[in-house]
Amino acid sequence: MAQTPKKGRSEMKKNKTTRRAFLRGVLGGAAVTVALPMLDLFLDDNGEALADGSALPRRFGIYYWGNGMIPDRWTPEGTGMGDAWKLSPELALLEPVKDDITVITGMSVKAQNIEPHWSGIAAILSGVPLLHRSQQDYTFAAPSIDQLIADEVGKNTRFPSLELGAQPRLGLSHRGPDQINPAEDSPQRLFERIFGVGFRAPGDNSEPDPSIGWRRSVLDVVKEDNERFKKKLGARDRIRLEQHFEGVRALELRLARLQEDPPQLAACSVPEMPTSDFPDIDGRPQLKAKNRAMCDVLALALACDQTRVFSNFITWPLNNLLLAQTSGGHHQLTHDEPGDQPQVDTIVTELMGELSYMIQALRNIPEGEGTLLDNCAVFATSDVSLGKTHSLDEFPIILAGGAGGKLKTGMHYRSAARENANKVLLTLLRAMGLQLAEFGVDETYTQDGLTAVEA
Amino acid sequence: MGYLTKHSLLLLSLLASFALAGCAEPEDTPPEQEPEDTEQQQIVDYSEDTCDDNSGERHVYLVRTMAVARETETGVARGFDLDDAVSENGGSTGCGRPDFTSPDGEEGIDNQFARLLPTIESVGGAAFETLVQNAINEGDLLILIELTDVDSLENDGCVGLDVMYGVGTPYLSTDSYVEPWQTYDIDINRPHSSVDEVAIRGGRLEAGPLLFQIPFAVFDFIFPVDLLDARIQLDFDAKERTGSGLISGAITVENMLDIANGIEGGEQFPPLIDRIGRRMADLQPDDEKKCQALSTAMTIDVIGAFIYPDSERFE
Amino acid sequence: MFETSSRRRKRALESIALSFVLFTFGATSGCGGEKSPEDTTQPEAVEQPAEADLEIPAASVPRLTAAQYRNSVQDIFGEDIITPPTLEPDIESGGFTAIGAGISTVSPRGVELYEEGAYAISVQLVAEDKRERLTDCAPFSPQDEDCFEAIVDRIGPRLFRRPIGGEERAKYVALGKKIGGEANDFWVGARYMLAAMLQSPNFLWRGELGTPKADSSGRRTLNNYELASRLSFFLWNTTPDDALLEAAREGELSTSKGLEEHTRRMLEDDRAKVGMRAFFSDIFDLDALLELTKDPTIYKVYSPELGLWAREQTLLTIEDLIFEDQDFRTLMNTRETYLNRKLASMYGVVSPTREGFARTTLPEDSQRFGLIGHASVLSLYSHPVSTSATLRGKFIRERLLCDIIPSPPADVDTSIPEPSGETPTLRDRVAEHLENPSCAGCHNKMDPIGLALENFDGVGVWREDDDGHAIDPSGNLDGEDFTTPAELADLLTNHPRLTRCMVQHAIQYSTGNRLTPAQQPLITYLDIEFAASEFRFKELIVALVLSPIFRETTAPSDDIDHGADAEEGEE
Repeated sequence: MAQTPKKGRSEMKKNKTTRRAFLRGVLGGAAVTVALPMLDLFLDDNGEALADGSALPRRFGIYYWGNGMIPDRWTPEGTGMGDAWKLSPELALLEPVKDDITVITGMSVKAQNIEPHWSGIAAILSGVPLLHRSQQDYTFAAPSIDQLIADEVGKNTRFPSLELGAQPRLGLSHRGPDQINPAEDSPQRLFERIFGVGFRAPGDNSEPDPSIGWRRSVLDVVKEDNERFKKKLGARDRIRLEQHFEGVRALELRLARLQEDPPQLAACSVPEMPTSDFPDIDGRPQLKAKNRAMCDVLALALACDQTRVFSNFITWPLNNLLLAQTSGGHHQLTHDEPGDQPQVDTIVTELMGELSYMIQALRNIPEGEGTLLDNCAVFATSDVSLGKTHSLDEFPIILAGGAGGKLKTGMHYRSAARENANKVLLTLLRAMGLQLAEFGVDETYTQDGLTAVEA
Repeated sequence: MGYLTKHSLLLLSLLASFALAGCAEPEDTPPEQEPEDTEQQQIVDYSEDTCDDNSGERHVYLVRTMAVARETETGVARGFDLDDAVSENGGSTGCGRPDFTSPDGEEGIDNQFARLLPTIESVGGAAFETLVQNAINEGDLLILIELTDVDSLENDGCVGLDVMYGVGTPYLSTDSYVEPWQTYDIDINRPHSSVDEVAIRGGRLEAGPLLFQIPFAVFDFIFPVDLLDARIQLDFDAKERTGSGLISGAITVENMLDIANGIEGGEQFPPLIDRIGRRMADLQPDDEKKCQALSTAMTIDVIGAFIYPDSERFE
Repeated sequence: MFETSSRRRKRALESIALSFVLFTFGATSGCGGEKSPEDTTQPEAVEQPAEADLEIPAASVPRLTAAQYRNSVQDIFGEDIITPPTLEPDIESGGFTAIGAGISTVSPRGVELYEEGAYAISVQLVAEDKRERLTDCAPFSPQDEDCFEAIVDRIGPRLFRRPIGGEERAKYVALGKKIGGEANDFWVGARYMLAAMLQSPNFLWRGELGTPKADSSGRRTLNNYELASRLSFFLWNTTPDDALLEAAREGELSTSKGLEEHTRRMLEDDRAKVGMRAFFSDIFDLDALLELTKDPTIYKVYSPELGLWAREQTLLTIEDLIFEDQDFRTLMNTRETYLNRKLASMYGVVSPTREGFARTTLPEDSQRFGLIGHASVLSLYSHPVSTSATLRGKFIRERLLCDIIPSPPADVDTSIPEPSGETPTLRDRVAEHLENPSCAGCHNKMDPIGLALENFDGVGVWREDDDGHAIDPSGNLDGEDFTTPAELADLLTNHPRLTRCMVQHAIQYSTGNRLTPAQQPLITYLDIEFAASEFRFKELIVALVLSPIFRETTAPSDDIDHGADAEEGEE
């Protein structure tokens, strides 16, 4: 479980002090890797910004699940703020975070529904219709919005973005056509990647490892090889390799940062290392256990400013997983379960329970006068609304977190006119600091955000 | 598991008097059937089949579950009438031990073990069926029933029957039973017995006497106990190639005592067996008209199996 | 031993033509039971397609797949070297990893993993007991230039699959010296030098680009090293071995004779089994069996190893056909296969072995023939809780016959009724697919074929009926009727598109490029060659390797001409 460091104002006088000197004084110079008490002297007087004047960083995250929901069971009664609306059956498990979420219903993904599931997911995550090259051959035409945002806000963190999921297959975070950021599906490896070798916790004032410099020298040589290799290629392949080489440059930058000081966010601490990879039991994945272990690691990764952009692909599009004690695979049930589809309903409800957990994990991290969640914009969605018909209307969208005051929370907004779902995307992008006048192409194009949910 | 070799030797010497059925050995028949022919199939009647021709198939069955036929209601239990008498409490037959009535209403059923077992179980150890099922599932108690010269599982005038132990580590289904159609070797170091000229009528096979061993499960151990003059009755499902039925016969008190004496830590056993066993014995009266053996009935169910063509064989 | 090639080709062309004829006019071969594939008589010569008709795709520049990375490392440095457990995942394009490798890139996470992996591998190699694999040179100082050079000279060409030139080598040596000096340890320097090479695009990417032909046709010829690389990854799924690199050095692969010789040499090697396994796993998606899950309350014979074993049965069966030089079409209706104890019990036959797998012949009256009777495809192309006529039919259409099935129209209710009194069997329940005009066009191609296999349940076990309801396996395949799974198997064996589809798969896999209609003449030509060899798969491979589509590429359409720069060390 995420730790909850104590909140409170320090009694100490606010001397001008360097972080390192302070820590040395308090802790005798020993390297520390455990949570420090809340040190408000690193925040400004209002607790709403970092001491150096920069705003508390805003974070963005995606929560995605496969195969949609059942609109009749999903759409809340009543619209507006607070008590004006009630949670629906499929959203029941979001009760603990009702005031932190905004449910948006009645929006439509405007892209043509050429490829069931995939047309929806490409449009809702990238804002642009799916790129269909031939029958079996399709991919995102443009980067998914988490990557657009990572390009904007991810430059100063160790990881521009983090992708994870309990059952993601590859995940859906795209840097461009055919360029997927594979999602981590092992809690242990996720922990290792973030908090293993290379992580420097607050208070770690040991000298950087010389091998970091050597690794940089190696990467210099690799970069030279890259330049030579690229010359031989045609344009199409040059782009592919350029992506690879971008990654090498990014790695080098990260190494450079490792040679500097560790992060200064007070709520940062190393989480418990997950002890299991939660293998399937009797052919059923341990979705909850895996998701929660990863959300715990993720929350502290954000608290330690290891990244500001994340995506959680808890299941993949068209997955046929045996979930929630059902008698059939998820995808098969969406098409074959008769009537009201109670088993599909159960699955969706449970998946919303996992979203609830993730939101709570973010809320449990104190930050300034509020919590990490207050500085987050979480975007939860799927690839279709009603799985049975692959519909792109009544598209499932839930936002969570105030994005540092940019978004309203505790609201149900219902579109009366099947508005373009890209409006939500544009709102999110703007909330995260991208100054965009428009978003989308052709039928998905819009210049408007969803102002009703903007603060 | 404890196995008393001296008993195996005793059995082997007893078995010398039984000859293997002389039916021929055609190919094993796999269960995958052809789809129905569109023409009407000829129904051949094998009910008058004799054992002279070697025309039929060989079937192998594995005993998948084995349980003591317990008393279901007062006075009701499955079994056979082994001594051709309907005995009553204190009567002149069966050493005065009362017989059961079968669930179908047949009287004279001899099954004293059904009365003995609860007492043994109350003294300690896991339930009989649990121990036996574990032994089967772990491959320690694989009893194979081989039928030869099988022309029909409905009506066949003559098939041969062999009972023996198999060797192998069986795969278990997800509900923890041995899966059908696995292949085993024959354990030639353990007893076997056979009966010639067994008939199947109306899907039911009855045969005996044969020598059988049943697992005497107590105190987490299983010991093979000889079932003398055993009779077997199996009802087959020709389509599924499965069967279920009964095996019944006599266990001598002396045999049980030998085993009891060999159990370490089970000191209270021998006197208990001695006392209760002799009191409950209902078969094989000696010169003094004291019964020396208990009647026992076991329910079994069988599934299809194979024997490796190159397995060691008896004779 | 064989007929002359032209007569063989004549017979083969006739064989294909006759199959077409038979299919068109509905001649059937009758009852179930295994049949030899048809053989025929007449002549008509066929030549390679004219140069003008050949369209060769541009080089696909694949990235090494995870398996190729690991195989290469272990083949170069030793089987005992532990390779990284996680690497950048392979992606599929249209369901094929080999094509996906030609469009994939490396994510930032992938870069991290390659870096971690490079250090994890190199630290093993500089350990005292393994240093000799890098060089015999004993360094006299942490910056011993000769020893660094010796390592680059030995390891470089193996890793980069071509010779290393002076400038390149100097760069690596300089790196080794710099770090060796800073660490005051030669072997630390060597380690980082190796790590650089293991992260180099020269290792991770296959730049088999070719050199422009003099005729300004836009076509390019692969040089010896590029051919060695393409050949080795195709046949062995790994980097070229020393013998092949030597042959490349000697220029032996530029001639058809040399190329054929080495191809045959490699096909006789056990490592060809690894390569063929990778090929068939890709085209039939067999690796998905490693994650096969079924509902254990419905499929009581299910166990976690089932997928692995089912895959093994199929791969061993295919291996046999290839390496025993059998008629490859018999994959569809052979009764020969490999089983272990578990699969034998599922199929209801005597186990041919007490442990592991052994070859066996399924019984005379079994309805289980060929690949469509394997638990692998039967369970993979089913749901966790039931069979699927559509998925099985789709597999047969797309992967065995290379037919294209479009995606379902969006926004339709795709549910089928639950089993009920009126619609008890799957055939009844999918009837809607075949009656509804917007569904029938595509489902007619798939469902009737899949329904033929309804006697095999969702894990491939034979069942007489579906919960007491009769199963009707009859149907029609492209104009030919069948009434049993065995008859379907026979029809597939003789289907004109079966071998053509195999040819297509082989070309796509070995070149990493999806085929286009422009390559049809080439496919036809290779299909005829395949037939002429009596459908021996090895002969198809040889013919393919010797054909222009393997030995040449085309300049990419937006090429910026650097043709004049010969890369160091390349021809």
